[in-house]
Amino acid sequence: MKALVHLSIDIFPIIMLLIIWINNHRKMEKSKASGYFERLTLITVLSMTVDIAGNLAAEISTASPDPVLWAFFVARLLLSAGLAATWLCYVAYRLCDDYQKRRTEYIVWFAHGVFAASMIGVLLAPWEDLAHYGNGNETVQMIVFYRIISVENMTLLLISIAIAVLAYRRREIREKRIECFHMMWFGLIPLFSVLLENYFREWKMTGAAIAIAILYIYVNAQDRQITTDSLTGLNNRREFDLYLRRLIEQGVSGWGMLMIDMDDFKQINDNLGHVTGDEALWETADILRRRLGKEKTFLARYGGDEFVVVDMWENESRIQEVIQEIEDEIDIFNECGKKEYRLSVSIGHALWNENPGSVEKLIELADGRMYEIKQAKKKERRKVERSGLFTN
Amino acid sequence: MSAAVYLQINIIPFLALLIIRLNARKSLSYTWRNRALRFSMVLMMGVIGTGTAAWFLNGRGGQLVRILLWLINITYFGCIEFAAFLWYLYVYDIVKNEVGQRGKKVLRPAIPFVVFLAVLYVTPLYPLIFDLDANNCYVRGPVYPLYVGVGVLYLAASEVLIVKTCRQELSREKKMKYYGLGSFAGFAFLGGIHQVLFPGVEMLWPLLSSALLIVYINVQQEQVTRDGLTGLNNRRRFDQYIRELAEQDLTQDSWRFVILDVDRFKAINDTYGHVTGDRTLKLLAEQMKRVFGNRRSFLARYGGDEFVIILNGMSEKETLEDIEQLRKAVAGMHWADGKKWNITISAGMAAYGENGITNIPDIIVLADERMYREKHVHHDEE
Repeated sequence: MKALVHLSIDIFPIIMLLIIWINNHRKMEKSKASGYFERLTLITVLSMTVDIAGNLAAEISTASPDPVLWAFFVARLLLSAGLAATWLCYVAYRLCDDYQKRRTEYIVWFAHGVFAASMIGVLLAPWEDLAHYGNGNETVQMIVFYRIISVENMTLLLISIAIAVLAYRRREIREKRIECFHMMWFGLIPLFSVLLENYFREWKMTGAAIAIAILYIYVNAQDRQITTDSLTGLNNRREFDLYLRRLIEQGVSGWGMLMIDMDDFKQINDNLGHVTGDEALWETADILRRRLGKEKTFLARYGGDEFVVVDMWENESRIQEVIQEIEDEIDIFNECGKKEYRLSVSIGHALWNENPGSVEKLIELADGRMYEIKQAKKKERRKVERSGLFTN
Repeated sequence: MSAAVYLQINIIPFLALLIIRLNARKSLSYTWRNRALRFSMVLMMGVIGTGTAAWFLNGRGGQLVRILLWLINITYFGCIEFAAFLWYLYVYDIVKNEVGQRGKKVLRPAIPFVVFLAVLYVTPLYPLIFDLDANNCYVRGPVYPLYVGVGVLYLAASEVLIVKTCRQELSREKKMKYYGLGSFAGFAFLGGIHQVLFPGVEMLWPLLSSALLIVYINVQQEQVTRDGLTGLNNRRRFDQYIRELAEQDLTQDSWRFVILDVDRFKAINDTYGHVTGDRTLKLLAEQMKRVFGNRRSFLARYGGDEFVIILNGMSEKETLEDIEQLRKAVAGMHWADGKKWNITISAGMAAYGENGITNIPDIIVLADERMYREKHVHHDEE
């Protein structure tokens, strides 16, 4: 009957995780974090399955001590230890910044070390002492091991929460802060479940709690793929259209948009290659993100080398300030002079108030202004080139 | 079964549904079909929520509890049948490739649902579906089988639709999608059997929630692989498809690769603006779907204004005829205001194994070269 109860609780998370695993497995882009994510999914499924099978075996078993029960008990303990360790590794890689590679590696080593230590401990213990499964008939040694592993898991989860909190305080861009916030919560829920499991025998939700976290991470990762542009990480075209539609539906009026087009992007691409071209795109996007990403400004890549920015700009003077800020930031980037190319953009703007009506007209207005500015720049440059002041 | 166990069985599916419901708000575009899917998630949450509430209140005394139990049970049964009905409409919409069920079309399939609701709401007067005894314990009414029957009817009808369409479908990808949809009834069946074998442990709703989850994850996956503007496969999916092809044996069939490109697209964009440029691509994609949609084909947007078509089992002559048909269709198009649309396309075709090339990226390069050769001819004609 116990096995049936466990099956009833765990069947949903198991099916859910298998679906996620199958869908996730086909993807090719593999980073360290996604490798740990896949492992996490499998270990969670395994630990729940082993728990069901162990309970079933305990009901059937007549031998005492039974080596089969020992195997199940040990597997269950080690899988739960592995689960917490993998979670920690995943969080460490996911939230790691470039300059913290070393620290991340220490954390991963630590997690592996803790897991190895518990494995050695469990395997070295006399097996007859651990040869039971289920509630009510455990030996003292089993309870001791169970508590030790629980404390160990809670410690690992606490470290993962600490990493998330530290990363949260360090980050400035809104989206990234939200990500850290979620990571923190998903450490707290299993922590709570482990505590619950230790006090109340009937609550066995740690696996299911992690399964929920996995589902959340998975659907959000999918969502990111749908809504963001893979090269620059900004919102994509689809998201831009939806965003404008939402603004119109809500009847928001005091907003404006910038249409930003890179100058001479074709030259960078043709002369320095596609890789450098992509890098220039990314740098431009990053400048926008640094300058405007802290608030609720909407940033998107509109097409090839064009970006759009939407925010609640009431009047012309405010929007000109923002344009100036972006130009300044680009000048700073060029003055640092670390790259073989110079960035330059033409920015056209449009306010909803000056042309209420259709979104298409607004985009055309911004587009037209951007084009004028670009032409003016080209004329200016030709003049300079002709006067011979600027020879290349 | 203890309260803790009951709660644990139901709380996880409920949370999972909540997560996908919130996620769906961002991830799914605003179409009737997606709204139906989102609403079935809410209904399923309603079923699980009211089911749990009824379980906890069942058998407790008091007039207030009695009224609450009536309300909860009515909502519970209503949600279930509405979800089944909506599921049928959703499947019908997908199978017939329509854009939403409205008006008279809904009336006929709604009959069982309406009949059920009428019977259900008679309950306070004369208990037919369910009743509460003197101790506020739930008892089944005389026409309880009606409740099961209506639900099963909708599920079976959707299953028939799915199986019928799936058998006619050629592409493997679409078949997979129908397997996902078809699994819904499978899960319901499993849940039903479980309920008969082990009365008291309700597994039907968690199982149906996981079926809903499968459907949602598939829909989301579809969005990940689709180009937002044209609705064709996007570059990500194309790369994945090429990798999948590379693992298969392609020598058995005849595989052809076609690259299409809009002539002077940059000029269109610069002269008429982006809005017009986008519309051009959209219209072209529609024509592509019309001409190649009923072949064994894979259509993708390769980059800015470049498209790829991968065809299987067609001769060179047939392919060239299709391309010519597409060209004519594009040339014959008009703007909404009747103005002539003077847009032309360039195309290049290469077959698997041609010139001894068996590496797919190289074949695409070959098709690309041919397309460019044609483009130069087009440009010189100007």
